[in-house]
Amino acid sequence: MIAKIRSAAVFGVSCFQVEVEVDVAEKGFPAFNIVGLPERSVAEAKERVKTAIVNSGMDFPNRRITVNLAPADIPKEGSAYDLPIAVGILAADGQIPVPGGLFYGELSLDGGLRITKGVILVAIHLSDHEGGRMFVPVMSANEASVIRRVEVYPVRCLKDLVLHLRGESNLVELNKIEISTLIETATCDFDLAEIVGQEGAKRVLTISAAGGHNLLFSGPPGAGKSMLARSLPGILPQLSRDECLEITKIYSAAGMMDVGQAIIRRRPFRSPHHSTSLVGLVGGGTKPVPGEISLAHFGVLFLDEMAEFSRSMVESLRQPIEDGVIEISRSQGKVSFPACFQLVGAVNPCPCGYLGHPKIECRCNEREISKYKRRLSGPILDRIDLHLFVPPVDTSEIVGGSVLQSETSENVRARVQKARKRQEERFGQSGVFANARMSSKMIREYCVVSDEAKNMLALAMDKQLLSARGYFKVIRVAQTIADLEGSDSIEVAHVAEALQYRERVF
Amino acid sequence: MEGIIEKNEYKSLAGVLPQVEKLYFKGNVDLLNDGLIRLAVVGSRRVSDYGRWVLKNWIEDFVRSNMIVVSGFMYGVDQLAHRECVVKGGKTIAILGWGIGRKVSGEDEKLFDQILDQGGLILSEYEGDMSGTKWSFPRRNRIVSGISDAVLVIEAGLNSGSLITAKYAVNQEKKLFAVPGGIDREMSKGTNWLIKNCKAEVATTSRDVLDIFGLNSKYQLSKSDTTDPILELLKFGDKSLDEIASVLRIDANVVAARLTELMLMGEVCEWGGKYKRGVYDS
Repeated sequence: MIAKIRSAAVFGVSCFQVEVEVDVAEKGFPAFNIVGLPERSVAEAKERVKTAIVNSGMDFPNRRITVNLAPADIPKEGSAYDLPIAVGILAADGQIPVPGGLFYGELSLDGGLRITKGVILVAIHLSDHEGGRMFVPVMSANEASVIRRVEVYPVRCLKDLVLHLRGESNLVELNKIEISTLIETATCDFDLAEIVGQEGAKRVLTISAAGGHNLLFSGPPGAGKSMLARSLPGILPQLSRDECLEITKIYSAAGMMDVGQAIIRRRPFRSPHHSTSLVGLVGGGTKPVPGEISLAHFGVLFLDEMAEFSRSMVESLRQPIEDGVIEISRSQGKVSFPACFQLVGAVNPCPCGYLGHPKIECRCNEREISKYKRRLSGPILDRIDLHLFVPPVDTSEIVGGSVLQSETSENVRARVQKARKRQEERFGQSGVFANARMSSKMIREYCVVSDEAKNMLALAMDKQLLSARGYFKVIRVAQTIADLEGSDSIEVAHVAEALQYRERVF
Repeated sequence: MEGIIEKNEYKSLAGVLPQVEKLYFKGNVDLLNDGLIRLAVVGSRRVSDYGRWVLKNWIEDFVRSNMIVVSGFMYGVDQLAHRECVVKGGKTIAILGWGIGRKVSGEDEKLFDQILDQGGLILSEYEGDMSGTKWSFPRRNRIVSGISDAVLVIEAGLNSGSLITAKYAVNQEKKLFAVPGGIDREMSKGTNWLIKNCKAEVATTSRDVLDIFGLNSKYQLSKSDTTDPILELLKFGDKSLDEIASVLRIDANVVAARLTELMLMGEVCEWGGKYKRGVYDS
């Protein structure tokens, strides 16, 4: 007898339907074969399924079993076919009626279901198509609880599922959760108010958050560059429902969701080490997995010691910074992962790190310094709007505590959100959501620069404070400053401030 | 233009002791003529922000007074002096520690071409593409001081090659100046030593150097009497943006905007995140 069970396959961050056809033949030698381009992890499902069925107290039919994963021409990988195969065998053997609904999940040898990646992708796929029931492991089921039009049945073990399908007991359907309630209760994990001093850097962070500008900190070791970077997600605007779903899709596909976690509630902060491989950074591999830049989607990608990253790694960030996605082409097909992140880099000013330090003398010579500076590729620097030198903090300030209480992340975020709103209104449907993404054509179209401010820009070019390519960057930043102030045009003060955050030509 | 100069061809070469037999040159050889004032500006390969500041602020004054800046084309103070001179539209003489025909690359090549484009002169006593050696660099220092009317040491450690130039200058009976620095600074130990042992005169402004040639810089050293609170504060030392903001109790964004204005006015300059009075446009 043949049983057809619905399941789904995850490829990158997309999902397609897979039908698991199981035939338990009356004739022939006992065997267990899986066809339909199974990769190693799928082929091993045989052992798991067999043992799980036996350990759940059911009979494993001692017949010729053939499993086909249709469509048969797409390679299948992953362990999520365990559950549909097991259900299919039991149904084809007549131990349970052929069930409706979608089955997805990995089995453990004792018949329990394990955490499985990609559940939210499957739920979205089901919701977008015909909707209906889905049976998924209890530990991953919460991901599906935020998706409408699907009935989610969390399954603890195969035995429970069999009893449910036989009508002997009932599994309880999972309650729906509204995403916005989850987002609102999320707190930021690092507050600006905890950072002593560094008022200039905090200001730059605010501008960066308000306009979506990429940012580069330079400064001696111990100046607090990474601490400052870490506080950026906390002042970025709250996630929207769609943003939240997109981030969760990536984390789910990467298998990075915790047990019982429904969604990613906060903007991610990723800080890959400079020894990370290229695939680890941008994603890829024979079975494409999202890299750090995708895990930082709608959040912050922090490259500490940015000059230590190899040139090819930093160069590979160019396309995603421009387009917000990374395209990975493999022989098996093309995958694109979203990668719309805000880049924060930190560099030492020179190889020894102490150039410009008030107490410690720099040990580098001229040549070493200029060589070090050249390690950061020009095209990447071109895509960074804000540059700031972070001086070391006087330790007596930290110990003595004579500092003014500074603004909390929550207050700053409120200002950032206001500035973002102005930008949304200005750009409307143009597809751009923040000042940092304005092309030079859009700058001409949208930015109102006062005459005085124009004069200052011209003077700055004259005095070689500003290069031609730095010109538009300064206007972008000045526009964000104007938005923070609630000003409709870019005034002298805005340009003057923006000039302090320009790229220095050494 | 390129060619060879014999030792008796120019009177200025008579000061080079030990004597050179011949010099290979590229560029404007007229810079060796009598009547021009040549100033050797030398220092170590490592340059602190202090040294940079001195170069940025002084070379301009020398160029305005039509002095010719002579140096050794080594990276560090030497090249900064050449570059600053070229940027300010001046003429400069570079004396190489390697063969006149040797190719240089990258930034060096750019500077090399700029010097020649601006009517400068490149000299070497070595022919062909001989590479620089341990002994050729100190040896060419005698030419640096020898063809110059005075030598100014910007920054030097205790074992810096610039002290060799200083020694030649003393032996050749040239005027020697040194820029004093903080006693705790590695890069000023050599210059301070020169001053302490009465080898060199103290130069604390560009005027100290200009004065002995009877030259006056054409503009006033104190450029304004504005009582901007930021300028007043910077009188007491260099400050970072944060320090200015916290001392004056002004918001960081306001300070940043004001600093830009002051920079454009040429009152303030910045290096390594610190703001100081004077010019330093990078």
